[in-house]
Amino acid sequence: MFKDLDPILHSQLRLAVMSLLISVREAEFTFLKEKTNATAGNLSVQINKLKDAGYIQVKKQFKDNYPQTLCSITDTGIAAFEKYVRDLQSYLQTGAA
Amino acid sequence: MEDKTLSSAASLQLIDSMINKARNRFSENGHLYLVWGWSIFFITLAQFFIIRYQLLAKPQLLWMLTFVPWLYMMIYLRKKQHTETVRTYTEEITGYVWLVFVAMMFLNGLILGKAKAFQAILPLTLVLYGMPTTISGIVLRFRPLVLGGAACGLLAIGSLFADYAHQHLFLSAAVAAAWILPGYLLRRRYRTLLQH
Repeated sequence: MFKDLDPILHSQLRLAVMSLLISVREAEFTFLKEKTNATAGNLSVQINKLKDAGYIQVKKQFKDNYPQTLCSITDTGIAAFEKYVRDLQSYLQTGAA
Repeated sequence: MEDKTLSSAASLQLIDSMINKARNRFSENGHLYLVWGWSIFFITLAQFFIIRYQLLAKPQLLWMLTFVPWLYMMIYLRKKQHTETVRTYTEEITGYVWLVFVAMMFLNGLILGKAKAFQAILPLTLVLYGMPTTISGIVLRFRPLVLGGAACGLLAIGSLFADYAHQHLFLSAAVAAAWILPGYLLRRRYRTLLQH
């Protein structure tokens, strides 16, 4: 049966960020930017959307006098990501059947 | 990459590709294994000769020399932390395992020293060497470290049958098997991965 996909995750850049963060403990903004090839502005907007949804945690601090943004996935984010993958799989199976 | 929606198949492909990008990051270059390994190797070897030929009244003072590589390692780790843009679960687990190891080593020395069980200090030290080495090998999926950890266990048993001076040679062999050899192999693996 078709399940509605989570609109927060069903977007290329937000899904890429979540997929990166689910594999690591925490990552800097620069790491996410490098791996996704996104622009800083767009990435920043999408990170805020994920943060507002409670899917990721954003920590801002200073490192060597430069601002540093650290992102990590939350328990809510992990649960949402797992549900999203399950929904995708069931959707694909339904489509294949 | 943009803020656009994807087909279900493309979404799964993207998830797979991003997870691989994060997972394929292997940051263990073996440097600290080599620094610490060679330091302990030379100290234990020197200890053997000093005790065997009674060259110094207090040979245990030689362990104070480990402060130099320890200080170097702390500075190295601090610098590394500053340049890293990501911290993986693997790094976090291995970091804590080695931290617990240091605490256990300290307690091991303290308890056995107080109990004057000098003959048991080095065999138990070897057992403790094996623990973080094996766990790091499993977490990093690096067989030479796992085998090095197992070697520590076997050498610990072997050292029970040696006198205090010769136990130091068992320690040298364990350090070579658990840290020096895997350290060189880790360095080679790291350089190979960097090239690709």
